[in-house]
Amino acid sequence: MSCPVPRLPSIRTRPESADTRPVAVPGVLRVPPPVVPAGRDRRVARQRTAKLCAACILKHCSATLIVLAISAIESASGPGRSMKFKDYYKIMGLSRDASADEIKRAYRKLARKYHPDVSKEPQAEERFKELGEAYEVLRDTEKRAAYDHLGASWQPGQDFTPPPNWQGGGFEFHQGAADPAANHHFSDFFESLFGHAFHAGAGATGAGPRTRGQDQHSKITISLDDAYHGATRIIQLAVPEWDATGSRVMRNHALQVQIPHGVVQGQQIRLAGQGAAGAGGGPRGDLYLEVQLQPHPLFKSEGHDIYLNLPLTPWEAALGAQLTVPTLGGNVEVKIPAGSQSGQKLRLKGRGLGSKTRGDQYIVLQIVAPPAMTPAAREFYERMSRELPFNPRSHMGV
Amino acid sequence: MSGCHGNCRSIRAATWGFKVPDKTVTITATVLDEDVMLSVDQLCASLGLEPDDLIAYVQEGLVEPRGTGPQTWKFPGPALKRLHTALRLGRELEIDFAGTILAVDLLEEIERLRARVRALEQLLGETR
Repeated sequence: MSCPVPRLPSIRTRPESADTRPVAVPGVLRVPPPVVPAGRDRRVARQRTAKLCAACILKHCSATLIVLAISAIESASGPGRSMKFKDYYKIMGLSRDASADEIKRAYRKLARKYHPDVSKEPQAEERFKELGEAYEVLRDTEKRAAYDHLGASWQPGQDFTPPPNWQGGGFEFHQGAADPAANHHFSDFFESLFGHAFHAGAGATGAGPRTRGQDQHSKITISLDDAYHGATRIIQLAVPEWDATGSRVMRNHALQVQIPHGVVQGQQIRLAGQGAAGAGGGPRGDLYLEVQLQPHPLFKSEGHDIYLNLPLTPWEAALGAQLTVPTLGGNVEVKIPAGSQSGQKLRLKGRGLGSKTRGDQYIVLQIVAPPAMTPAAREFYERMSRELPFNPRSHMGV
Repeated sequence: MSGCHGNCRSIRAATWGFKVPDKTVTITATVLDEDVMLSVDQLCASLGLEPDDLIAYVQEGLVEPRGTGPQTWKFPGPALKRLHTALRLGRELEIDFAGTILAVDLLEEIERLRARVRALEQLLGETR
């Protein structure tokens, strides 16, 4: 079964360093720090955010707002720009005389290794995208012949310009409706070789009957605090549109996104009407962002539940205590029962993630003994050993 | 408000929506949780899926609708992600229908286990 569901291209972001050049960070849409400080009351935060105009927010975030889709950058590259040669055979680990079966086998093997849904390899998204482009060319007899027509003397990464009067090496390319390439955004190199002829078929779609634009899928990384409280973010991305000639182009634009409170790891949020433009004046598709949560120094999330390791003194555990405990919603007072032990869990109901029904926060107790650093402390421990005979290993028979 | 040039015509359009000036857009973000219900038409339009294919996925148990038949089926929000992953795996890894369903189940189980491992590792790490 063919699937026309597109993947949003990989995203380029700027790291939080002095270097302001875009850097490829595949697959994950990162967002700037919150416009509204985390931890504030949500209602106040929303009211304050709603009063900010886009220009002010953009100005406020200018130091860290750097989210650019690779395809946007690539589409900005005009014909006059330099580009690098791609060795599709090397990308797929094949010799130039590889058979169609070998190409298919190599693709399947590498696709399983680098597929973003499956792989934990570094740069998997980039590698998979590159692999898809190589396969798109080498599996197609006409494209492969045109590519081979360039000759074998090119080196990967070498500056490349198509030969004068290049028209696909004299070959014609046809794009079927079910062609998966219709949903991919390939490199400048690919576009320079096959773009014009390749998009001739797509252009008909752009100028054709009124159809809804495709939905786009990507990821967004946020902090656990933002997941709990909700937050306003500005993201900048590129979405495919049809130009006047019927070719697909990438349009860059900024979105102000209110991330609802309570989202959990892996959950999707939908931004209606922010996907690809429709053809023939049809409505835009939707944009789906899969939420990825950044690690938190204190809390860990598991679904809707939150876990916190809580250190206790031996006397707090033995005698019981009323302690202040951090939660994502702020500090709370918790009564520790007398006789508590390390590893025991206490549940704070409704202190986890979730929009309508919240999960729970679990406090895992961890007894920490103070070091016997002073003569007085040592004397105290010695007195305990005399007056509190206790063998925690008795169940081991030792 | 101080610091704003005054041209702002921000209006909160809906619970999670904003309208901001110039070329930015009004956004209404919806969390696709168990409370969001999607119809057959919505899923098919979003995924470019034929209704017959969706019915096949239902019969294989990939997604479980509420309702008595395709005309009244409603799918909880997370069904969209499961279907999207299955379709993508089928297309990009060239694996068959049953294989994609198995892969989706296993991937979700792996993700659950990874989250548990991360939580346990933190707890163990802090006790060492």
